[in-house]
Amino acid sequence: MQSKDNSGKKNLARTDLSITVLTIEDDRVLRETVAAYLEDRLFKVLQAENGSEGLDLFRKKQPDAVLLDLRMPGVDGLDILEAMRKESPNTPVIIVSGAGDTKDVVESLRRGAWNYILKPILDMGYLLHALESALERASLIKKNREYQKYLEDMVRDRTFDLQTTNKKLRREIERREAAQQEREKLIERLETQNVELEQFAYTVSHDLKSPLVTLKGYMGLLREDLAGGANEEVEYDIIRMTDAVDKMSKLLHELLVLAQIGRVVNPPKIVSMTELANEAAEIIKEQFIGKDISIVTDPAMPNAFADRSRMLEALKNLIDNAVRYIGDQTSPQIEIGCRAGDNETVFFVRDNGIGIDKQYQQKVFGLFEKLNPKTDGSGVGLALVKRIIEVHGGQIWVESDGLGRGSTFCFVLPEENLRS
Amino acid sequence: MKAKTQTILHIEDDQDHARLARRGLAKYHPNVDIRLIEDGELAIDYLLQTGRFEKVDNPKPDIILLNLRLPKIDGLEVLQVIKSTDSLARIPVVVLTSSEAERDIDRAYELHADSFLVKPFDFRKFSEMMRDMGTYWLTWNRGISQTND
Repeated sequence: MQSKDNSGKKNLARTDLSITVLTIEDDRVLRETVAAYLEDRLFKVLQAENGSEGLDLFRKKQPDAVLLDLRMPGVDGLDILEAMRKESPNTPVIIVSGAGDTKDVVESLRRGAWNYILKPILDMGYLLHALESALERASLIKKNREYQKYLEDMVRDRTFDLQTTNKKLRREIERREAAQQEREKLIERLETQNVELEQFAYTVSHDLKSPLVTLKGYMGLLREDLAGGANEEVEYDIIRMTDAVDKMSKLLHELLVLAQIGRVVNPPKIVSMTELANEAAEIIKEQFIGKDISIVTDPAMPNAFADRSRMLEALKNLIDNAVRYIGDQTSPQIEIGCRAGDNETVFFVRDNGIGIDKQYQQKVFGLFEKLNPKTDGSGVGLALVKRIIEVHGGQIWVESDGLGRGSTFCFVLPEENLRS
Repeated sequence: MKAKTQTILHIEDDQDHARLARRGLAKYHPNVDIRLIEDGELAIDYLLQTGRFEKVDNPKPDIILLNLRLPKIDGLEVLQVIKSTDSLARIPVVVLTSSEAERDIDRAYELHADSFLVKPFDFRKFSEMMRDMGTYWLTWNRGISQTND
């Protein structure tokens, strides 16, 4: 049968699963002739004898193509065409129309008909040709649309991949930048520590050498004074030598303490600052028995998360310093307490002693720095306190309105380490 | 000039080192007047006749012996003040310190120290150092003219 095909074209439709064609035609003879012809060519044919029945079938069966008579009783063929175009724009509709209806044919093409065939159909081959080319076009359009969709999907997928990769890259860059910053901070800290270490070594070597110069020097003096019989001088020389040795041993001891501050780590725990202050005050009072000094402690200081023994050491040194530099104050008073700072709690040790000149307030925390060469302190105490506070993540400074007006040593600890 | 007593201003916070220097100097230069100042701030006051020394007519020193590590104002700062003050700039400044750190030596010479001596351990050497220092700066070296005294 296929060999009788007049289209002369390869029939795409019939190699497929059966193609459904809906024919809407009121002329029963013509309709059945068409149907028989198409069925012979393995189309599946649906028949409708009027417009509303045709539209019904069209909706229910969703045919692959429609042959539509324009002139039918009842519903107008053009309205049917328009309805089908609206509902399924990709289903080819071929108009089958009488020769006298050319005006309607033009109108139907304008409204989206794919092709037309004039009645009477002299050669069914024309019909078949029109049907097959419409189906081919529909199939091409469909494939084209699918391909387009495929491309769009691909573009979307690739775009998504690209965005994902971009995000990953951005995160990676951020990670590396953070690592770089971390590294720079570390280097900076190491550099600071190196400078500190160098300064420390410099200061230590200098200050340890100093008593040695004294010692050796006085040995020479002693020899001369012995030879010259200057007995009083001899006595003095020996006292000075002993003092130099004491000074050196004290220095060594305190250096050891200072060095350990940076190393030994006692696990921090919650300590009562009030309790620590009281304990420190008691220890210092025992050291200065006979000195009438009033030490007042704020009973309501917050607790701190700290290394207890180090914090005690810091408070002891601050109180010791206050006692040492109380001067000739007639009613010496030392107060340990805390006050609200800008956004932290400021602990303080206040005295009414000799005070510190503004220009030297930074210097007092330096290792071996002593503002007064005659005092018997070694110049390590405040450096030690500073180190302890800094190891706890805090800061220390001194406030004083100047000489003779007392000093207040203040320090803050990280607020998150305080419990009220 | 011969009759005039020469003055050394010794700026030193360590009493013992000051005494060693004094003994060493006295042995060979008995007529030298040694004035001891114990910190950098007082030293500047002495030299500029300010603060505690405002109304005191101290002799202008012929030599300044300067320790570097001093309380309050550092020795190098004192040196800088001396060398940048017209009336003091020509007084020979002999740095006498236990520091052998290169940075101190470099810095001192940059600030126009005239001499840099490291305190020796040995008293005999200390004495000899003081003797030679005194002989060089007080005897051999022609000092600045005294017309501005």
